[in-house]
Amino acid sequence: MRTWAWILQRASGAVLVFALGLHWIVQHHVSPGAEITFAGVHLKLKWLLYLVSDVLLLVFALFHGLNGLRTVILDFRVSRSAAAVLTVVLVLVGLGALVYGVPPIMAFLRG
Amino acid sequence: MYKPRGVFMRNPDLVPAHLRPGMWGWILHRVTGLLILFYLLLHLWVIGRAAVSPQAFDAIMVTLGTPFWRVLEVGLLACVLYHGVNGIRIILFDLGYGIRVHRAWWYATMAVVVVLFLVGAVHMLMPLFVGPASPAA
Repeated sequence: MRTWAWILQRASGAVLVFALGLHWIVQHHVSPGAEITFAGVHLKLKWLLYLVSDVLLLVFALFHGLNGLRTVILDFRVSRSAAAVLTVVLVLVGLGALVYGVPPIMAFLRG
Repeated sequence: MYKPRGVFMRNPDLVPAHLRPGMWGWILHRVTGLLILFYLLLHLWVIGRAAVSPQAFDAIMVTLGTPFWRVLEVGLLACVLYHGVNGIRIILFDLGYGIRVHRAWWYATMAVVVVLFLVGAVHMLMPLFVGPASPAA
């Protein structure tokens, strides 16, 4: 489990460098870019590559962030049972945040 | 002899006497990571609540363009740049690249972060001094 947590942390991190870079550039530097507006985001999400990268960003950022938090906490030598509870809690938080993050994307798509 | 107490009992890496210069990069990576996770959850919550209608979303975006939030966003830029560039360094280390020149690597990382940060920060804070590029209608 630790090996996978480590490998997936690297892999998701590498994806995030690109997905977050694209998110940043498209939101702030692609016209209409000076002000972020609902209509502007609606237009940008019609670009399939951007839609895909934003969904990837949601999934990978949540995984990377919560898995990172888990690593930080486990370094404080928590007991096995506490670690198991922590893992379950973080998975639930991640799934909850994922479900919470989908409706806004749908709202922007509908316009 | 130093006897670890409290939090240091549980994570001996954090004992001040054990900290070597190279470990500040590691601590900074973790601290910025936790801050970015906090921002990510806040970001999901704010956008989720704002995206209910175009009017609500645009109103919140105007609020987020005020000086207070802009300055915080510059802080976010610093965290993300450091975490991202240092993360690339970590991946390269894990693949076996650059370990022999780790000190030079570290300075190169910081140089890239500082340059990108200055460019980004100037760009982000400029509208506060010269007004927005396109005046809001």
